[in-house]
Amino acid sequence: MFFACTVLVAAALIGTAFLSSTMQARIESTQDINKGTYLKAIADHLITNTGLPVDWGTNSGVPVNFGLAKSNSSAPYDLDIDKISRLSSFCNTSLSTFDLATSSKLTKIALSISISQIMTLNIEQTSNYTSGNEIYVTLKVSTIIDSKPAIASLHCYVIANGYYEMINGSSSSSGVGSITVQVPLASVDNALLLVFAQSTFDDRVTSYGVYNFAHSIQVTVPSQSLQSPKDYTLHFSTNSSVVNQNGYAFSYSAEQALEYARGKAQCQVPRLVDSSPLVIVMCGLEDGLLIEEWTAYPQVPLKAGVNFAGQEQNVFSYIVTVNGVLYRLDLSLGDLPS
Amino acid sequence: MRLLNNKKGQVRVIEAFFASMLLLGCLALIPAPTTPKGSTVNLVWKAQNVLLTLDGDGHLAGLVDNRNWTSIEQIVESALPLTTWFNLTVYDQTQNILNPFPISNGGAISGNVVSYDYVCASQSSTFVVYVLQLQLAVMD
Repeated sequence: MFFACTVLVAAALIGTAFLSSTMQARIESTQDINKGTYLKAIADHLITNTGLPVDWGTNSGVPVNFGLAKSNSSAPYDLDIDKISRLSSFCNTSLSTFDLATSSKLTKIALSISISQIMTLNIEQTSNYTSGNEIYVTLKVSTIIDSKPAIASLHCYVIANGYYEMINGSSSSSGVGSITVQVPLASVDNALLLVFAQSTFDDRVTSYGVYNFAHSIQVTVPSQSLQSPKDYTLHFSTNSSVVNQNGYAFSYSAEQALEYARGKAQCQVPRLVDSSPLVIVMCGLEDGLLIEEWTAYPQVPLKAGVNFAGQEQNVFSYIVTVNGVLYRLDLSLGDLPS
Repeated sequence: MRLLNNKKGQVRVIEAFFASMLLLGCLALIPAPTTPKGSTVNLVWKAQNVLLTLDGDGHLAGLVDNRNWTSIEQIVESALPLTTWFNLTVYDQTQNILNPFPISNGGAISGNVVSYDYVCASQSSTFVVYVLQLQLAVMD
């Protein structure tokens, strides 16, 4: 009888432990799903709503409600180019981390937004030689989507003060293309190469890259003194020592000179119709030296909000469109307050 | 010695043993949590986001109109993370499969596969409705 009771008690104990662990797993799973659903709803709200006022991207004030969606757009996940621009630190009216937190009403949940191009471009110089007054530079352009090589058509522009050249090319199935450009020796120190790559399967997958001949490197950070455009208007810093002379807007399949009047603090950016990011290049003088400054519209890649280094974050990835171009957007939210 | 010779209660012990086995057996049959896992829910959201965005302005329906299956495969693959398996099947209004070969980035996968159905309409003058079924799974 004693043994039978012991067996029964042991069975009851094992059963209780088993049941409690099963229930614990179920409760934790439900809590995780609830938290994930709650945070996903917040992320969706920030991406699919226009915010208030609906055109806060073109204003200079902090929005009452934060939302990145384009107003009057029938397509979901279609974001406003100016709202994106105001997340960039290169915009003169960029939203600070505090502005972002208060306007999104997320004062207790950390928020970070990063936007990147679908196709990554890597530009490297492979060789160069000089002939007469020209330098010939051969560059390797790699086109990569998610670590995989991608076939793309390349439209490249070489811009120096008083010099302009356009070169077409393509990257093969190995994701590598080669282009050779010629630049006058006198202009090479202030010359820029703009590379636009468009995937062969969808023209909405278009990316850009900028190469600086003077330093022989690809540059990802635009010129400090040139503000990111807003509402198709380029604003110039009045404190800058740069005297702008002329400017150009480039996209994958088009380029156009800016209607720039010397001494003005702003000029209009043309609305080029193709699905492509815009790169704007201003040519000018700084302390008597010719310089080239550039900025992109929208200013992507960008990262705004808090730095999650070493802290828990819940990342929600989206594919979004900005002016007909596809981008990858990662919205990170911190853990819920206990 | 007297204890060993005592045969009383043996049936009770056997009874208790079987009873405990029965009890444990019942506990083992308690179903595991059946609520969807977070990653599965995320995949459904991902499928929805990808199809809605790619079909902005009827782009995806246009590719189906042109039977451009390779472009569809490439754009869906570009929009999804590298570690995500997908299989897209395109149906017409009468549930016939239109794509002549699988639009996928790999073979069959063992794991939780989620499915999301998306209805899109052709932007051409002949109004045609397509049903796009996107299956997603996370590759190990």
